[in-house]
Amino acid sequence: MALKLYGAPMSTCTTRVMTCLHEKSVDFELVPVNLFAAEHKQPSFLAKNPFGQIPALEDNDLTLFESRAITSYVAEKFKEAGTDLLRHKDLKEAALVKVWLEVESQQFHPPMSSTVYQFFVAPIQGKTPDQAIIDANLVKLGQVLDVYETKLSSTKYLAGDFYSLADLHHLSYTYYFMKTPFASLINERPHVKVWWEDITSRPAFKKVAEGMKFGGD
Amino acid sequence: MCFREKFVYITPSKSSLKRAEIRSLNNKMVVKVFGPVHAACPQRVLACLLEKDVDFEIVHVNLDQGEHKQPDFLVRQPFGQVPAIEDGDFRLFESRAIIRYYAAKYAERGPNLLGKTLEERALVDQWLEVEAHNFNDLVYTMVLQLVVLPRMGQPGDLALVHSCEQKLEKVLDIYEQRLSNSKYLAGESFTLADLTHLPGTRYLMNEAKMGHLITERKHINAWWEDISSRPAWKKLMNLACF
Repeated sequence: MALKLYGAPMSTCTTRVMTCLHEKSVDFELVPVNLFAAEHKQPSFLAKNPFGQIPALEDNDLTLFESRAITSYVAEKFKEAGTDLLRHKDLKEAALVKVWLEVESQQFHPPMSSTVYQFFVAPIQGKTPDQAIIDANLVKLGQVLDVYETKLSSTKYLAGDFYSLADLHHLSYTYYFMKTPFASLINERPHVKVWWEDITSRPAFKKVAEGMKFGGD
Repeated sequence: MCFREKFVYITPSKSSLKRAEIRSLNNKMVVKVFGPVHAACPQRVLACLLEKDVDFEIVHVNLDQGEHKQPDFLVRQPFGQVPAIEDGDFRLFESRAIIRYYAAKYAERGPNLLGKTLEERALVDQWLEVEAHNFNDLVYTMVLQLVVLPRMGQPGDLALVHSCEQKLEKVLDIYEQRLSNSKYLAGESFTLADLTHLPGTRYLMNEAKMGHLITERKHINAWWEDISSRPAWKKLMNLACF
């Protein structure tokens, strides 16, 4: 039975998982969850993720939520297939992947997601983007990207000279970010820019990006 | 379980060496953990090392004096945060990456903190993510506003605390439901998913005086009593003089 992924094709966290599934050439069925109808807050979805957030994954009788736990599971379960995302054969390389997975989660994600939320999601919810919040988060994001610029001037990808799950986790949010007027934060850092162009040119992501449109396209 | 005495000393990085206790000397390399012993994220790492009976040395980093933002430290952790570790010539940062590494490296030793099957490991990962994304931000903000800022002579934002508290109540209701179905977060055994909550919850209950959030929920309360009475955690509390 194929994996079932509950989520939405334009959602950042759902597409994080979809990109991983494509990198591993794993068949799955995307089961749409209608966010506008608050389907993710209804009992049948809460039974899958009590926090009422997409995505959730069903693999026979295992149900998982939290996109980064799902990608880790997929990358581990299918470690012999497709791209080597976890570097499981080398404990130290695997540990460095874990470091940069955490960096994305703890350092990059908060300012990045706040900015993307203010710019794209708040208007859909009928709110005005809060420029003060955007400004503050852009400053933090710039500081984080300065660290990335230094790192990427010594290694091709974040955890080393190999593409890994740590790079993949950055794709979805940054993809939307690059459609804002603040894309210069990436473009003005030459090594970050090269890295960004490389990781977004991967076929697994290009397939997923086709569905990433806000505004009911 | 027999607790082997370890060679553990606390090294102030700029002043003279101070040995807290020396019981057994072994010449092998110990893991150096850079950070203050009272800070939450270093404690996450230390709790894991103690569970796994891994020798370590705490190298104090003086946050009040901004030592973590100095060039010497930024070489170890470019984001200027504690902890960082040095294990021979291998270096890591991000506490949740460090605990995953040591839980994997010493999987055969001590309690199994990662889960045995792929599915068990996925559930451990899931609840580690829940802590990182649904729990930590709220607890961190509350402790910052209620404890850290006042210590620095600045007023805390009580409206923000109240808003976080309301959100945390909802999150803890979900934990309560989960823990009414299983003894620990990822299943019937203590794992990293539980361990990762120890430092933040302790701060929440003690310095931030928000203990009612835990004690008012029967299953969470029982879970907290259980995980905070583990010998490794008690040993860490001793080290930290809590």
